[in-house]
Amino acid sequence: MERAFPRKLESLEEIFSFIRVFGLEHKLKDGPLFFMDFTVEEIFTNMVKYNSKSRAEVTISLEHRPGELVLTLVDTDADPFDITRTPDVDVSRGLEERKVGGLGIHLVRQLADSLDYTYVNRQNKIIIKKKIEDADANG
Amino acid sequence: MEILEQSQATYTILTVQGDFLCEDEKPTIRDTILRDISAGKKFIVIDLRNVHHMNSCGLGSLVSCMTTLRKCGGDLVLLAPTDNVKFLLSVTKLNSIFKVYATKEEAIANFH
Repeated sequence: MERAFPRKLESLEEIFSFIRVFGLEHKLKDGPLFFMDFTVEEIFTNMVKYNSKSRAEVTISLEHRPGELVLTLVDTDADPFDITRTPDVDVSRGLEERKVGGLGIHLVRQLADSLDYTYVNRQNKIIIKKKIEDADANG
Repeated sequence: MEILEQSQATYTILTVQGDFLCEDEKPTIRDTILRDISAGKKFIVIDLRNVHHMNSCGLGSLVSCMTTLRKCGGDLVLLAPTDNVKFLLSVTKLNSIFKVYATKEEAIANFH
């Protein structure tokens, strides 16, 4: 299932609906749905905020393969931004030393089983994979 | 996101409804808490029982509110977060910073 969304934060509502429809079609339970909502929202928001010059839509595709979910986000006409190489956030710090930024990508890394990044022809492509149990689907 | 506010003599409960996403949204939890601080209300319970989706920006705003309240001698506790939100607090180790309570009575008792 694939769809392109206008590059604006207001698209998030449509994106969540898109994920909801995919979840219903594949009978996914709350855990995988939460993973998709969280991951897609964090990466899409980054693409909108940090590539505001582009007018191109962001393409999101969702796949349910045996035992895994595969989410792909493609950001066209963009400068490279490799989320697999951003510095880790030190979550062991106390309140006073906590930095507010960077948590999103940290969480995406923690939640996903694999993250792949390519940059070709000014296109950032991020592929996120998450293993799921049989019990997470067909529910 | 909607924020319902109930103020008592010693504490305020802010009940958040809907997705707790970003500080770009209005009203923000931070705006509300800054207004409470100006009014001398520095002990805040944030009721998260109706929040099914929170993002990193939402987590960041909770940290920011807690920092502001602590600096002025106040405190903030979380009430009844959903499993999804509890999971995010755990992965980010924010569960070691925020006190989390299952019931309103337990949350309020923290301020007495």
